[in-house]
Amino acid sequence: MKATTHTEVYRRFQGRLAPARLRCLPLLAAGVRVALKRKWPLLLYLPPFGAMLVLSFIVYTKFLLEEGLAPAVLTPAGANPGTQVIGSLAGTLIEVHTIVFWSVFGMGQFALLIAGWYGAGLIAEDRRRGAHLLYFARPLSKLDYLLGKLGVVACFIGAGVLVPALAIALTAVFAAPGWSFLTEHGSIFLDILLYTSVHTFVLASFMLAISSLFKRWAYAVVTIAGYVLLSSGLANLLSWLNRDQSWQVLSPTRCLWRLAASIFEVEQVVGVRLDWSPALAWSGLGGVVALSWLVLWLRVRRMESVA
Amino acid sequence: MIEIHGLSKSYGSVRALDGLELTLAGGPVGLLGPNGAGKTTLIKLLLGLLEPDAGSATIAGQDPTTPAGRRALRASVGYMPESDCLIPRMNGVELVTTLGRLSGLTATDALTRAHEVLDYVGLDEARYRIADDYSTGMKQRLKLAQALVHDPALLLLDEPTNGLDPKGRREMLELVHDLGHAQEKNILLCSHLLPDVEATCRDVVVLKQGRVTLTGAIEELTGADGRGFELELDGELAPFEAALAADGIALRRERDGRRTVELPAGARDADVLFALAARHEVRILALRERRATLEQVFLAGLGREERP
Amino acid sequence: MSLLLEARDLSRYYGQVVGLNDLTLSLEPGVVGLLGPNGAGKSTFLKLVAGEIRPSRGTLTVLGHVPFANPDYFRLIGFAPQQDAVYEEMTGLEFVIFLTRLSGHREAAARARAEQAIERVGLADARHRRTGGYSKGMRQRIRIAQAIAHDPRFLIIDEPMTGLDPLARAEMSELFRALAVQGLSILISSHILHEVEALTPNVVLVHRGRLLARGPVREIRRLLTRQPRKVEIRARDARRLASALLESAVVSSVRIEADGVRLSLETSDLERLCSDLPALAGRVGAGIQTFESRDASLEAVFDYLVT
Repeated sequence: MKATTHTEVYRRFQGRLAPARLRCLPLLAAGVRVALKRKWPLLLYLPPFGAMLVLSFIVYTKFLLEEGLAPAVLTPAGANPGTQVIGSLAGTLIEVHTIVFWSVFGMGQFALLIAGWYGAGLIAEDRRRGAHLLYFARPLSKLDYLLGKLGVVACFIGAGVLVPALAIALTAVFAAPGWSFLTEHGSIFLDILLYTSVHTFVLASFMLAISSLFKRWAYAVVTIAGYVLLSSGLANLLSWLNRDQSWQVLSPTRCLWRLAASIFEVEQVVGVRLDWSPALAWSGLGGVVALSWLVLWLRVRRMESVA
Repeated sequence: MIEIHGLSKSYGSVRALDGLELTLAGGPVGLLGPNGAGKTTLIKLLLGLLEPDAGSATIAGQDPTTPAGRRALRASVGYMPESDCLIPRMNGVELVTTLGRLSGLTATDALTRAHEVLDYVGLDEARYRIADDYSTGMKQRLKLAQALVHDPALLLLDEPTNGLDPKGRREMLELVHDLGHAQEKNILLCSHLLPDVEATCRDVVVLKQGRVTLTGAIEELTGADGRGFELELDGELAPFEAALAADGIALRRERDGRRTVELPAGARDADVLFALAARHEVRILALRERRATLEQVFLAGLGREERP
Repeated sequence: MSLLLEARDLSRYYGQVVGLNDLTLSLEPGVVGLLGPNGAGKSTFLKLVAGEIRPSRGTLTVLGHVPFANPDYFRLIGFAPQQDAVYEEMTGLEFVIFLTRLSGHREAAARARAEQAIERVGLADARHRRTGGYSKGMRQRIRIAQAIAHDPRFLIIDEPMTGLDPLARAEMSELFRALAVQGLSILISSHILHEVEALTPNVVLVHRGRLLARGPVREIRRLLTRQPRKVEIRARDARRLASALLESAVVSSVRIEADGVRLSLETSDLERLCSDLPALAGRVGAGIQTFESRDASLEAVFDYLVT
């Protein structure tokens, strides 16, 4: 038998290089994995998921009450203040779609925090650490890079906004007698998908665009926080001065609220003015997205010049 | 390997590349030139990140004048940047694997390949640590590993010994030498440290003002002519010098204090020098072929006098 | 001749990390190279000599002064640290004038000195441009200019050659040589051994915070008696020469390369070998073409000492 040794350390690569088109996927996967390395920030999801549980429970009891069944915990004998509140809320026969609206409305605030944490550094840190020198020496197009990064922050935002809303709707599906909820109000799933897609896409694009302007994630976070506050303040001020709620379009947050109200057919929300046109809200958001992508394209074009 | 004809690229009023002509067959080549000579632009071209204004080129079988060609080019080229660069918060394995996947390897291929190249560059347990915490030496090796993971046809190494201490420099140069000679990879080494280039490359290309001013094999450019020798001597030299003169050999003193002789045509070795040295009690401490260093060739080629 | 520098049991700690450990060294005026692996204590030593930090223990006297926070001392020295730090908005000339004035010169005198220093580093053409627009090599040179403008007696430089192309490097070496001739003492810390070798035979080697060796390179080599000298010979008939060499008492081993022309040997006494070789060569007639011992270079010595 012939003896062989295999001492060479460097070997030629025998496999094939795929002419793959979707190079953003490995980037996305790697980005999510790296982001999940730190466990503490997942606490940011605690409020959304807590709220999700509460709201799902409300939906659940609502259907039970409609059927005439009252869960034991809601009887006066075993009641504590929390469950009494829930009981009374459920008792007022609020529609599921309103509850879903509350979910996305509330989660919207946390979405901003989540986007800030997971998204502010995505491009900023790459620029600071010179990662673009490594990425763009690969057959990776600008679009691949942007989609990969967008995907990372979109995953995290989506988890915070989409999942609670879906959970509530699914609770309704299974809590309602038979499949009545699904047959009568099944379109709510499409509404949820539509709204969360828009919300995620707008917020993610915006966050990435800000991230691409800086080299430190802290600056990006401060900028986006500042922008949100300023735009809300300005929107309020100009609306009040001109007695025309159309000025709310200046604030992306208000646009999203208006959009949510329109999609989930909510007429009134405490503390939010809804007397302006949804079409304006759409165009306001469209403007933000367009501007964000313009900024992103220009910045990434500069990053592509390595060496 | 590389064929470039009449390539030009301007940025506004600055002509970065001016009708560049270059043909390289392969092997390890040094790329030299003063700052601003167009090296950075040439690197961008070789990386498929540049659309030329004019001219044609074939690099590793790809055509950089078309977008598709440029994309394909980046799959066949490995780049080790000069500046500090890494992907935040990844360890060595993750970094090389991710970049391997982005170059087109499948997930499992990328992982095995990553480990292979990390073995090759000598990053052992450190590969499981976060790259942000690496020392300079480790970062340089990691950069080399990520350039090798997809086994590119052409390796572009930009100042690979940057920031390394002498031991690190030597180890890196050994790796580069191995890649260029034993592994027979095509390498383009950009460095300002000419001894590095001399130690690892066979040929050089010198750029100046967007054009190639000099190409050739290092052996030839610094070549000995077989008859000139440099001597280090100790002892009373006058009688020795006289005896040499009697034999028709002139002992010269160069500007920088070195002593050189030129043996007569037909002399096959320097035994005569030793014989005369023995007779006149002069010690020969060193006897070398008179060669230029690459540094001298380079500086002379750029129109300056050589520095002693 | 008074000493340039005297350090006695000089130590510096950074919490648990030892920068320098009981360094005792005295240096005479002249050009000295400071060498050592990364993390050996070179930067610490330079900062101590430049008066930027204070010793944790021990004493340091440079040019008769204690360096730390000593304004008189700062006028005597010029320090060009490694960090690429310039005031980007100033022009080259303004930058040097500014720093020259800090050492106490008046406006007119400072300007004259600055112009002269800039001329010497070869940046006269670029002196009215923003330093932010300088290349790395130019920034290096302008920092040297600010270090020499106030006419110091002692120049301390950390890694002067990084980023410089060979032309600029040759010019920089020329500048240092000229300065040394004019009586300026220079302490250069560098990793590029052959550059240091070209400037001065005197080196100080530190390793793990301790002094490893000091003095002219050849002398240090001679002290390393445990390492036999390696000699490379090329001869037309290497084998015949080899057997003759093995008869010599000072030759401890001989190795012949596969091409039959190159030969390397180890000897315990190079001087003796050089004395014996001519006679031996004449007797054997082996056709010696080259003969050299390359391990007295700074690189080899460094290698032997720093394992």
